[in-house]
Amino acid sequence: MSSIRQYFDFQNVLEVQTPVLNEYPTSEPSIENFIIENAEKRRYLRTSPESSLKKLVASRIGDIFEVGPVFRKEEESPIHLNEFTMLEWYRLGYDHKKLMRDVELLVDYCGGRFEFKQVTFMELFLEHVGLNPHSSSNSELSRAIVRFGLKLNDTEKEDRDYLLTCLYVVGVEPNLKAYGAFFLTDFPKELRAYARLSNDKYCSAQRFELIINGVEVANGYHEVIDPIEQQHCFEIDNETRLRRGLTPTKIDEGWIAALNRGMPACSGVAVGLERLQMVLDEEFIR
Amino acid sequence: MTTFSTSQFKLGLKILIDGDPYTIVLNDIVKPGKGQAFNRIKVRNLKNGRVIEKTLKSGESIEAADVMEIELQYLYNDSTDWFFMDTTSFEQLSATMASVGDASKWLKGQEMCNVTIWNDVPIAVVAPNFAVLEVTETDPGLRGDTASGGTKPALLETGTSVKVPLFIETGDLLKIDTRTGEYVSRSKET
Repeated sequence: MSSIRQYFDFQNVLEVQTPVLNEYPTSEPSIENFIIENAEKRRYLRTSPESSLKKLVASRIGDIFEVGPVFRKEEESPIHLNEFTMLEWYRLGYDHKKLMRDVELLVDYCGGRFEFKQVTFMELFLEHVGLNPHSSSNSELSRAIVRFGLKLNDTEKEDRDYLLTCLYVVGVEPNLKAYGAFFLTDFPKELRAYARLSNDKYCSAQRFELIINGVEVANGYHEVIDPIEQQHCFEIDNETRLRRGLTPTKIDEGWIAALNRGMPACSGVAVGLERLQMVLDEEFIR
Repeated sequence: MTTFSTSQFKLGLKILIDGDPYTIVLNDIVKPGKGQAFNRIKVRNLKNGRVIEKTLKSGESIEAADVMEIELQYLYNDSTDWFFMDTTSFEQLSATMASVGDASKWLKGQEMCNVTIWNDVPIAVVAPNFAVLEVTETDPGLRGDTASGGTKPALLETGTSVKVPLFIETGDLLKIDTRTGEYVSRSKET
């Protein structure tokens, strides 16, 4: 923890602290909040500080980072805790490539001795399931998933974001340990979350994940700063929720308002610190 | 029909997959950053011991297998069926040769065995960890040769052949580790 603070101190990134209890739940369809009820009010334990930090970035505060607890309502396992510590930071004027370098430097500073590689989503898919994740049809993806022994219902067969995730889990993810430390890049646009899209032929998302010895340690975006585009992302999230039988969430107006005030171009990334510690310890033991 | 949802999964839980009973030996959650959760389980087939891996959507349910493990006493066999008894209720159960499997090599009668029962039928039998069995046939012993480390085959009273040190003689009682099938020592009592 002190290495992290030192690193950002050297880099002139300001430490901030934002509320743990939020007015809005997360809009992301696969993440669930713990809810706190108080009289008539519903408050949500944050699943990440993203919304609060983006509002700060929009207020032209400069580069910022926060370390703090986040909460996710899901089944627990050694690498999925209901409460974990998230480090999230934003760099003005950085694109996702420059931010990946920043992540490497931070991990080095924390004592990591990894050789970082970059692998695209398409490379992994072609290698392990023989399909192009950007251009394969839903029925090609479905057939591949069924070959791996998983059943799909009719709604799922048309849920592209689900199909890609599913095939990743059954066909790709079991092979990731062998890759050591690498950045997974160029996500299919359906898995963009809140990342910008590229101008390449597949409009791939400028999103990355850092995966070390099979464990996902960080997730970053070249951030969407256009309020209309962000609103569109939220609407797609809600459509996905409806399709999956979940309740749509109210859209975080403050987030959109912040972008409307003029968000500087930036990239941001979140790191699960327990997981980072885990892979660093494993590396040290080895 | 009892079912278990993935959130109830724990090690040792008995479930049905493709009509066969399995026990869960590993339960991992896989949840890509922005994606849904899946359970990746390793399960051991209770009939043949084979381990397979399977991925399920979290929240999915899977049928429970009506399986229990009990201690039963082995009585005798009539070459097709093997008979066991519950020593408290004196109820008798028969098991096929296939379900007795390797345990048959070490059983001569009276042993308390760990028997896996599925829908009231024994499907797997585990012999006690150690068996004491008499040698019915082996080459003459080299008396005093306790150090040379050589081995020879010896036929036991159950019809099983094991490798034994050179000094063992016909009529000796041997302690055998049934998990490895290896000779442990000579034994004075059965």
